[in-house]
Amino acid sequence: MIKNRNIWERPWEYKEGILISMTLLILGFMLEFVTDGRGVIQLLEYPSNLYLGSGIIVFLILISIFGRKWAVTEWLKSIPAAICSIALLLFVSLLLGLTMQYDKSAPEIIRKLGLSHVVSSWPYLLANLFLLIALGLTTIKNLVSFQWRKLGFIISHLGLWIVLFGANFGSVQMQRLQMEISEGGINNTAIDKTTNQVYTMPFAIKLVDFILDEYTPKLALVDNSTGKLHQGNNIIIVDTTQKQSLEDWQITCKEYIYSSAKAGNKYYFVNEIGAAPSVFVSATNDIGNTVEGWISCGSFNRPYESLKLDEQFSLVMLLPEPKEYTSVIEIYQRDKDLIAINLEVNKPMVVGDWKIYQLNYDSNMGRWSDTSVVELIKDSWLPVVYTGIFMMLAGALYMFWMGTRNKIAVFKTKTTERE
Amino acid sequence: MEWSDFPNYAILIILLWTLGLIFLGTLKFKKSFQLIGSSLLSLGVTILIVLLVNLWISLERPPLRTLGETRLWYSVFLAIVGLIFYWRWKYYWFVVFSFFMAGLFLALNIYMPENFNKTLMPALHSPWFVPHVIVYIVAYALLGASSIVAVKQLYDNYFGKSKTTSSITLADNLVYLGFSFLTMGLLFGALWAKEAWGHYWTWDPKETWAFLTWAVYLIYIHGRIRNSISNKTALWILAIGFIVLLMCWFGVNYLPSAVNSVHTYSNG
Repeated sequence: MIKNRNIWERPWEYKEGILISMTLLILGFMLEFVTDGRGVIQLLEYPSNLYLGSGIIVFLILISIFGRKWAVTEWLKSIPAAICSIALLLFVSLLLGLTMQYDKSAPEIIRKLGLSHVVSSWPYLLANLFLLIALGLTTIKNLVSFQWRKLGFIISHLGLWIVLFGANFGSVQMQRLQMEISEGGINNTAIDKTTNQVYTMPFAIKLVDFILDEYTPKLALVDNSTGKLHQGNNIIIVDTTQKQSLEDWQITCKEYIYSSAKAGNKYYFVNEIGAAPSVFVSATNDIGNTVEGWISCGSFNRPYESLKLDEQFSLVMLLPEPKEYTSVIEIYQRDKDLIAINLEVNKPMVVGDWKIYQLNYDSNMGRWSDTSVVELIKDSWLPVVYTGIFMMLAGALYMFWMGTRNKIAVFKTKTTERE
Repeated sequence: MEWSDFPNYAILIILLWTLGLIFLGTLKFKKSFQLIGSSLLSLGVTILIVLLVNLWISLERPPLRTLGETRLWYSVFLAIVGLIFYWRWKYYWFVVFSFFMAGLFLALNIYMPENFNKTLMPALHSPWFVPHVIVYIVAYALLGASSIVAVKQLYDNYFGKSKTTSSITLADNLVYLGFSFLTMGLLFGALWAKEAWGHYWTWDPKETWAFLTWAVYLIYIHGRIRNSISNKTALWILAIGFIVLLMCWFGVNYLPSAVNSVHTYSNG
């Protein structure tokens, strides 16, 4: 740091940086306020996102050529500018991390300042632009004066720039649609849930079968007075092989039937739609009282049954949690072969420009659901963002490698540059 | 080794670690005591690893879902980081603090026993699950260790004898390693999110705080270049960074916005 330097005297450092960051922040809030909290959505919509994006690239190149001797350009390529721009984005993200987003009950002023929609607000956009410009100029400078030892530096910085650029200006073009298909049915239309607009897809999907695999259900204590689940040591999994404890009660599961129906006062195995799990339990407390009986979580067409243990607690069975769900589907496309696949969560399927995801099912019906909801996503900027992500990963590996050697090449590079 | 015996094993491990630290500390000039101390610490770590493996087998899924489970991994990695850096740089106070923190997280699990149940929601059935969480926990262990260095150094500066900030180099090394793991964890998360939820970044509360954590350490790394910021400021950033990290790890679950988070798996 250079001492006895007046503000705005070269080279600019932290004082100027703090002023610039503060100005951008206040400017952001003012812009948001005068536009009545409408945010920057329109600015980032297609095709204005392309104009803004290419504008930034042109701006960066022009400044690198014609403005490289300016005090502000010199500063934007410096460490203080890097830190101030990261800090500004950090601050805006902190507002995002601490406030409820898209909360309808938020006071008017919160909305007008953009705090109810931070990621599409002016302060957020300006913070990103600041970072993109500082990071962009630094990267261009190092690309122009390329040296092999700067490779790690360039890969990580360019990677981050590409990710920020692609995510800010590209992801707005992402299309995210939902398609509901019934078993045996076929559908070629999907709906955008945010606008409720219906689209016709370049393919049709037939749901051959929907399969849901469940975990063994859990047993829990309910407070009789409130009807709510008791907090604390309150959940066990149905297990006929061992005694388990819930608060003061020792629970033994004597007989468990995964698919059952009640006849008289007992449950029997049945194989029909809506058949629910049931278990015969024996519960003994510390003072030796024993309660026995059947409990069942019921289903969409069967009632549940609980067991009252004492004045305080009842024992209930919770609805089984899904383990895996799969849609057996067939995809029909014009002039192409039929694709038959099993669509699972975490295993999306690529068809042309679209990626198909297993999203949901009729949770009311549980494993008897005969509808499946799939999500269809088209994100033409994904290759751009992925390029950046993989460059950043390479940069992280480089840092891991160099970090263990006590000195990072960037440090040397930077030192020689300044000298 | 039954999981229900966890409190007993945890106490045994903490005892072994305490003994090990005493051997390393009070009798640090004798080589044989060094060896005994290191062995006791390593034995404790080994028992903890065996416990984790057993838990993995008995749960039939990686024990990485609940906060309690991640705390166990954190203890393991923090202890390992403490040992490695002690063997390499011989900072006794560092090994003491890292084992103290590892023990603290272990003790937390005795007092806050979680329901270790087998269920794992479909979104977590993914090859990304283990690398994403493990890489993050390693990063947290390294960065936690860096904050130990920072707090110790700040304490010495304000109240203690030492006015130098020499151990900041140790913090640097921890941060470079930790940050590279943090970046990998963050990006693995983005790649996984694309496969599971259709988008690589949605500003979910956990993601927001993960970004904040990442940004704090990014500032530290840039600030350390040619001492652009003073050592004291840098140390304060590390101390504050750890609070943001803890916020990301645990605190997010208590934020009002967490009700919408796809990252809260503990209340299932």
